[in-house]
Amino acid sequence: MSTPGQPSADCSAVSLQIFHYQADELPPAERRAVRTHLDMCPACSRRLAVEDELLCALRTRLRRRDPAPELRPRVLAALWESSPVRRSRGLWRAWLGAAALCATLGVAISGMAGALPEEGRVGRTACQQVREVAVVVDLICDRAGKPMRQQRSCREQLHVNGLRLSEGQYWSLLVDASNAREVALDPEMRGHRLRVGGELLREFNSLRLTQFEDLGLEEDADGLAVEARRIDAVHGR
Amino acid sequence: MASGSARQREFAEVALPHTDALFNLALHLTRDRRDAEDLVQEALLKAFRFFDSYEPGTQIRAWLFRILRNTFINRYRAAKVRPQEVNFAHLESTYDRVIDETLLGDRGAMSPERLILDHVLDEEVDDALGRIPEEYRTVVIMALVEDMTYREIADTLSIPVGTVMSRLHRGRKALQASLLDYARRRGIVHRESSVPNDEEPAS
Repeated sequence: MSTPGQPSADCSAVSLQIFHYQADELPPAERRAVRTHLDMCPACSRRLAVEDELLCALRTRLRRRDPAPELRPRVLAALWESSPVRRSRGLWRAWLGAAALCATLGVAISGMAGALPEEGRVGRTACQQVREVAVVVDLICDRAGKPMRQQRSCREQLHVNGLRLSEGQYWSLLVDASNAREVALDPEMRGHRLRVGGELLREFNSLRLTQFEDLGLEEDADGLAVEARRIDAVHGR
Repeated sequence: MASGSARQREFAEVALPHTDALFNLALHLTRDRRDAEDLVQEALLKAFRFFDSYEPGTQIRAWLFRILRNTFINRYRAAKVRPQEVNFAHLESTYDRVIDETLLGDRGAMSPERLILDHVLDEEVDDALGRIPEEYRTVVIMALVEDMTYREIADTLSIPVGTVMSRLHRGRKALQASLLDYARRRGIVHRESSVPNDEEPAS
């Protein structure tokens, strides 16, 4: 316990947790510990009261700003005007394959490069060069980073594989459009490193895989690099 | 207006009710109403194009927020505009000092809640929010305006819950510090409780 201006170690810990205590987002044990401390520490209890006031003021002042009433009809009209081509899966693929490859990829791949490990930075822009883009990523369950309940059966064939760009950054593979379904669906491929190329859809954190090379598991049980093996499943081969 | 396909109608029914929430986030990202409206429209059209990839039963609002934010980031990166760096460590320490001084200070003074509610203008709130880097601002809006849980925010932004917690912690402190500073500038808060702006060099 402490007086104001003389915080104890407990007070410092509570100070770090107080926002999450307010949001009711602490695990039960931590919440109980904070509650116990607050019950016994007038300084922290008063601090909580001040933070409660500030939170209340923030919530009030950060109220939603409404759009102009014309926005919704405008969006609706744009939806109706959108091309019926996109309703057809075959044409949808054609549209993505052509338009997205040429129009989107220049930006997307350069954006991807910024998110990738150094070895993957290639910065291609021309359509012809996009297919040559190669980055090295790890295959991982595509539920990585999601709630544990969604990851529990990740060794079973319930989840497709995803790509781990770096710790905390994951991309999904577009399975239905992929030319390499076996890579996307085989749980045994998880943990392998791949050199990949394809179309990156940033809005969906997704990669449409068009070419890849399996570099194998990063290390075998003896710590030796596994020799890379080529998978002949590249689009058009 | 021409009638749309069943798919268009389904999308309109599930997605358009979130237009206001999308606009609010877009406004705080772009800080311009016209840009925000354009961003919302672009994001919704993208969402419609990729509606097949939406899993029914999952949080469509989170899915739409993700598309909106990624669309914003793509534009933002294309514009090569960098946000002002914020010295969070400095801001946090001064914020803690202000809170301590408030606790020790004049018991008859106006409460922090009333200070902010009565003496800070809407434009100043928006300005304070706009000073916070985008990744912090987005988490603050999602948590305090949209009442999203940490887990929902983490899933929406594809970041760990711990990152959500730290961004919210820092974002809230920066925001509250700025608002208390606006109040101070009007002479409402004692001079010794002043919170410097985030104009010091980033650490």
